[in-house]
Amino acid sequence: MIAGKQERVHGYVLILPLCTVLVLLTVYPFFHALLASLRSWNLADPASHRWVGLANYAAHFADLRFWNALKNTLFYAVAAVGIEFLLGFLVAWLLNREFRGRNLIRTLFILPMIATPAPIAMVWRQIFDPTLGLANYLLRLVHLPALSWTSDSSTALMSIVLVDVWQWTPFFVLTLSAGLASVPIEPIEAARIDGASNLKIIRHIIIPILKGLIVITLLFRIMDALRVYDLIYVLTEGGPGISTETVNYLAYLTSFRWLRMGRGTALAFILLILTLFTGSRLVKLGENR
Amino acid sequence: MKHDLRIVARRTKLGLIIATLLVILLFELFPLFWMLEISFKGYKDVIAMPPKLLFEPTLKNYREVIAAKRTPFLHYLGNSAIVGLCSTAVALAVGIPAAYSFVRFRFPGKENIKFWILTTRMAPPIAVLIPYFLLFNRLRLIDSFVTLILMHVTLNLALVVWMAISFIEEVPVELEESAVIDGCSRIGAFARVTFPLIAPGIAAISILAMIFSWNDLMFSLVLSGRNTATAPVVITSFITYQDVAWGKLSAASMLIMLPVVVFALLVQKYILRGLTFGAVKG
Repeated sequence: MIAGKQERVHGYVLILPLCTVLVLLTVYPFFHALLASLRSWNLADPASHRWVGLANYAAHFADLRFWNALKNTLFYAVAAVGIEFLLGFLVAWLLNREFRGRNLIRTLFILPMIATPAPIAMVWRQIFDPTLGLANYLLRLVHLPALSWTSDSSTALMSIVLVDVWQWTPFFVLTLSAGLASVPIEPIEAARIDGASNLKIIRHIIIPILKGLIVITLLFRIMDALRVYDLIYVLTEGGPGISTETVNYLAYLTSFRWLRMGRGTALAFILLILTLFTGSRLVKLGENR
Repeated sequence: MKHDLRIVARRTKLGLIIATLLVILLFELFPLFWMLEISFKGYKDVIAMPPKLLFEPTLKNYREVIAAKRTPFLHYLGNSAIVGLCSTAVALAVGIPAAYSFVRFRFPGKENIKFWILTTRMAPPIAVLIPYFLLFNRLRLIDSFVTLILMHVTLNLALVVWMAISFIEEVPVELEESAVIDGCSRIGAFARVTFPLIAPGIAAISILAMIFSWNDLMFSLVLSGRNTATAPVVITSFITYQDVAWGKLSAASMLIMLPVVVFALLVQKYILRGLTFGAVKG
């Protein structure tokens, strides 16, 4: 009983610094934003400032533009993170053996993540330029038909996904490399002697051991992909039309372009609730071990 | 003879693996290579299409970026370094003990606190930028390193805690217990047994925390000022509505990446197979 109490005290003491920082820094902005989302607050029209309850939320649910943004956001997150995980796992798996130059290759692999996002997105905009861009130059070089990339609504979102894959596959390379480095060798060697294929080893040994890490890394990438904003801002500004508009980008437009702070913040909260739901499901998935 | 064949087969396999890696690496590196190339080009060569592979390299862009009087770039790079290193160190110092507590101790409310920490990474920054600005403005802490470091710690804590949890969970508690029986304190057992085993994980986490702090634009833009502006904030001044100063933008981008690359190189060497703990876990 005493041990139990002591354990509780030790447990709380160790998380105290963390909780202090987070309470100090997240509680006030959260409630400020929550209240803002329940008000009509137009920066261009001070007279509009008043309590409106859930009207901002209702307005979004009745707006087809919101549903379009939601669809784009979900497609973006699933497509980008899915491809990044598979590609990242492949690279981490292939790097998980001894050969000369391995450390150099692994360092080179994380460079895209280190590159400063705004300028590198400018480079991609240049690459995607239909007439002067490198992407079509390369396609023409191998006699393939040129694409319109970000300037056609049918390929624009996929083009941004491609940039996201380029930028964030390294995240999985780095984290899964660290994970694979801590998997014990013995069961893998035993399985290999028994003639198990690589796929079997990955499925029955590696994935169960790394399940916690895999769920966490997927979770963090999905959380960040759901609120994607900067790539869209630089590459397409939501266009052509509204074909690449995501919820967070629409929230930015509403708040800072159309100056309707209340309504924009409500959109951010809808996104937060969606992310909370996705997050709690993924966390549950990780705990079922 | 049979032995030779096996060696040839193994060599071929390794060759294929490295070839696959190089193809993916090519995709990952070509935009950066393009940028590196531009940073050494004069104005005329930058806009030439098809891209000129042969050109007279110049250091003009780098000289202009470094020597600019109004925006001393190295000064801002120094600001980035202060904020990046301090916030990473604080996030690790606060986050790893917490992660350890979440894995090893039982106390009421644990799961809820864990999930609450996660939610701090979920809020779209757009919703909280104005409240943060108002908060720090009232505290007269705009344009202060303390503010930026705290914000970047907040930005990274969820990632540090949750990833550290997943690495610590892999270490069997029996290893620590036997160290305690051998006379270690609980903290000593963590420092001498668990920490070395999760070193690859800690290395990866610190690289990520550093990168997220280094590349943060949103919070740094709103909460920094003339004295504390970080490099990504300043670099946006090369992108104006009418024109992009490609040469200077590229040179500055390369300079920004350099310190993080050095940091990653120094830390990466810990991402290798540590001691195996198969003996206990097996």
